[in-house]
Amino acid sequence: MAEELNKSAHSENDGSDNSRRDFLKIGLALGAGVVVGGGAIYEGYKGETKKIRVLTTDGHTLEINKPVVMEDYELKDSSELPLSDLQKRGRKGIPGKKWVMVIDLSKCRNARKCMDSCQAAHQLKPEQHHINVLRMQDDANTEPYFMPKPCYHCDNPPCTKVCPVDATFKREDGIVLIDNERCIGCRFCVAACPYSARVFHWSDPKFVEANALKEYDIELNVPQKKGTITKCLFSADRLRKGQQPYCVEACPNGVYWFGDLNEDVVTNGTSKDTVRFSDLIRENAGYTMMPELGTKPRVYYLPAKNRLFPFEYNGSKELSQEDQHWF
Amino acid sequence: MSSKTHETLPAAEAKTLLNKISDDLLRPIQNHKGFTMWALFLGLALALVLWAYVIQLRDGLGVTAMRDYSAWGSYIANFVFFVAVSLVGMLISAIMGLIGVEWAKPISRIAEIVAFSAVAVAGLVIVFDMGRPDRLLNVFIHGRFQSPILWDVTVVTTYTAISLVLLILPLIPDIAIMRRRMTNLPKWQKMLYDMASFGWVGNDAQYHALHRMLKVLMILVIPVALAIHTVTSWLMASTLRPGWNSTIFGPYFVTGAFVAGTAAVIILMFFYRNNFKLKEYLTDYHFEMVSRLLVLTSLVYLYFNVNEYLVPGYKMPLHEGQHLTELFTGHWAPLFWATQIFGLILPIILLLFKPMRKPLPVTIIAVFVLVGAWFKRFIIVVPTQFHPFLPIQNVPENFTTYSPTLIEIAVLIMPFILALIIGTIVSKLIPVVSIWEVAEQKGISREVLNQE
Amino acid sequence: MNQFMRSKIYKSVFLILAFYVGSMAIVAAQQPWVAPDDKKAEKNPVAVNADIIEKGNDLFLKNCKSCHGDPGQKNMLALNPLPPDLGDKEYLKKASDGEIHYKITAGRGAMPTFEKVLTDQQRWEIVSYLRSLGDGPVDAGGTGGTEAFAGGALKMEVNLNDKDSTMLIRLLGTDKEAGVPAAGVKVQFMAKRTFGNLVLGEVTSNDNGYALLKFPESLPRDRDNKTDVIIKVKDEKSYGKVEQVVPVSWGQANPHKNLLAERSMWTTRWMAPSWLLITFHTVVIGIWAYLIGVVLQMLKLKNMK
Repeated sequence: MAEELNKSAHSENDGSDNSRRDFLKIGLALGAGVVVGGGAIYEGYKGETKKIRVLTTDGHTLEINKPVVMEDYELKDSSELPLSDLQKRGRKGIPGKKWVMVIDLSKCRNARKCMDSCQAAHQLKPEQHHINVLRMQDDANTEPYFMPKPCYHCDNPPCTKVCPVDATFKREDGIVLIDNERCIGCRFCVAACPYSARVFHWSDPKFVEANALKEYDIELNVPQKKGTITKCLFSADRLRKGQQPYCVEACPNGVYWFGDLNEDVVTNGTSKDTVRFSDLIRENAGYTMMPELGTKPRVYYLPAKNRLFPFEYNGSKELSQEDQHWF
Repeated sequence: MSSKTHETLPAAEAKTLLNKISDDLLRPIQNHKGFTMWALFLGLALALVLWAYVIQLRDGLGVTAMRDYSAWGSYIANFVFFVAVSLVGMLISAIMGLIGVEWAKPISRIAEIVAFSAVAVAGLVIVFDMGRPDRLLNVFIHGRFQSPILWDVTVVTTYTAISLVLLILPLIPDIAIMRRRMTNLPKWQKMLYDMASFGWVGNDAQYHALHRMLKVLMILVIPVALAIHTVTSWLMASTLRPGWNSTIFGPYFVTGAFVAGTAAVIILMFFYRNNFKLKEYLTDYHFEMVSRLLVLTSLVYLYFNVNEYLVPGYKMPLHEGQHLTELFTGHWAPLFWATQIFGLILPIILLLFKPMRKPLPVTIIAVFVLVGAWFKRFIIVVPTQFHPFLPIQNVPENFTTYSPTLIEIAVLIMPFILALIIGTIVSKLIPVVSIWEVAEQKGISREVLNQE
Repeated sequence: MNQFMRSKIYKSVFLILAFYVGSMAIVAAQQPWVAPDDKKAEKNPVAVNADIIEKGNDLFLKNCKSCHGDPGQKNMLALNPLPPDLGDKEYLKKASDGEIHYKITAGRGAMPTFEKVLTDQQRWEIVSYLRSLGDGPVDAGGTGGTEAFAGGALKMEVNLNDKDSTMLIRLLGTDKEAGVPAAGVKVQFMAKRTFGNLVLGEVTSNDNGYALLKFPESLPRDRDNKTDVIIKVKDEKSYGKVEQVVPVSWGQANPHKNLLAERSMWTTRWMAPSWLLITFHTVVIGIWAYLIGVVLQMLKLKNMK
């Protein structure tokens, strides 16, 4: 970000030629549907600040911040880019965003469509979960409930702290990603994650032969590699295309809300209903998982109040003896 | 270093005594009885475990019993064990050397041999545990200064280097003696001794420099050795896991390391005493003293154990409580209590009795202590991982248990074999008890010692 | 008994068992879902009008569509049993208001229980909406004045007031009704967001064709520090697509903070806390310098006299 600011400040001091080029860049961004629709008219920069003025359809002028200028590679499909650019943009993240997920426990009935869709997209084996629907109970006298558990993409991530080689890292948009081209397989991050969100490839992953020549897509973590880590990535590849994560889209029960915390808005993956994040959390007493650990998760839960479905697993309305071990 | 001055013997008497000392201590280097068999055994064993490691390289860490909820297994326990054993070099040769403990002088080289071979293989053990050992260089290219692993790599490398220098430096006068006295050596060995004697003639300037360098190193090795094991404990203590999330892990590991290292030194002393016929140099008195040292370190370690288990055991917080229940009365209880009783409590009690501090009994006890020390590391590393904050669900049965596979055990044994190989090579090249320091203790003057 | 016969017997026992279990399952699955008679006979207490139908429509989209699909489109989710197409005219002919209401309330199997999720009023509103899809005539009274501007003969003027962050919309007729204000038309204001549009408000135009929206001051702007507001006439069926997108810089500034700009334990290596970088390098360089010094001195031993 700092680099980006420096770059744009630099080009503005360079005179009109560069600013025109800059304008073209903005034009590109506009074209991509990021900024004002059709009728935006450029009026030029106002002195040293990074504000620009645009003209709306009704002739009203409006001063807005200079749009986030994106590199060419940031919008392209992953299949079109060489590995170096994929890695570069994958490490940087999507500019200006801060992704957030809300999981409504009152809606989850263990349909596991999220798990299936995720495992298919990331080429995982049945026992490897980027997202895992857990059977939970807080106390012997409370009602059990289902709890989907993705990676929480913590803002104080214990996993990236301990990585010896920057193979797992946090991006500007909040996603904790993995670079399995760099991972040395020490599994310190597995040990460090208090939420057991990380999965190791103990032996050959799926489709080794079919993937032999495939370029590594860091935002999908495919092809998976033996001896490296994998975990939930908030479907960074789909976010790049403006789509919601695999699990969010696959849920038939409206469990998942996903959006940009900076915009304070989340959209339900099932109903496409769009609401204020802060309202949703306030009205439903949203919480994060074990905040006392200080990890600052980016995934919020809404309590399992007024459920659509009663808890039922393997024909029983109670947790099995084995599962009860956990409270 | 040599804080005490010794009564000087008359020159003629001194010369005879020196001849005897150097004959006794240099004899094992030239006596190859049984050595071929031993070397053959080590070579075969190494080939066998190397084959196991090749299988692991080919098929991945899936050949071990480690899975996502026991991501660290006996390899890490092994690593902690070797780092622990290596710490004794610092305790006996540096701390006791600086304080000027006379009885520790003849055993300080043994401690240094233990330290060097243990720490040299410790670095390798970590490589066996890596999912992608081919990317080892990434640690140096992309190393993150925030990661305890980078600190660990740094201190292990540093400690290995210092241990090596600390082994070589006090050897210099001995090598000068060997150059003079051992005439029928193969050419390469002669060249090696020529090089390693660094032109030692035993003048005052050289003695002065040697003592100063030793002092510098002894001071330097203390914080580095403390760091190596403290950082190793931080591999666990820096996580939020119940059972590892402890503030006393540093001193807990360091004191445990002194116990393990002392036991290793006792075993090696016993071996040298009998096989190298060094009864006059590694006497009952030395065993008596080193036994007391073992009791002392064990008591301190026991104190840390009480803190580590009793304090959370009193509170029994949810997850750590489950972990402790499994240790005290559950799945891990037999191993836990066997380790604590046979590896720590019984040795302390037995060693309070004087007959137990004789060479043979204390060596047997030391074997128990050392085996216990290994399993103690296993108990610290493995069971904790089965008690994460969130339940282990929707995974196969073998994700919820851990007992090492055959291949894993073979790879596990490899560092022991390597450490034995290093130890063997070292004790075939140098006297395991310092000639010049023993001579000094017995009142042989420097002039006699360094006479051509 | 020979091998062949034995296996034949096993097979037939297995087949019978399988048939039995299978048919039980089918019976269980096909057991028709009948509402109790008293529930069936219940009448819709909510007076039906266009507003109610619209509310019902909104509730349907949020709660029902995910499984039942779009009414009449037969794009329901492939569950077993298949969720019925609620826009199907035959279905609506058979099911009474009370029956539909009962099924929404009680739920069964894959059909959730909405008793605690939706109020009684809301459940009846869904019934009203579904009823409006059937053949029966529905009283759409209430708003009125729609026919005159039907078929897209409507234009929208937008006035922005930066001072108090309000949008004043005026709807006027075009063509035959040029310049005539359109009253009673529902206008929807939405903020464009990453994955969907956030409804800011719905305002019905007054007799002079005006509709006013107060922009929520607490809403943050997008990453370009503006908010695209979509203003559209809600009833697209009657009026055609009357829509405008207006960027405004109202509300709160986008709170984006680049976490990576700060030094921390969890970030990349050169962004480690300064004290850590300094301590680490000082200690490592110091110790190695010391050690190398000792080794160099070792090499000098030879020349000492």
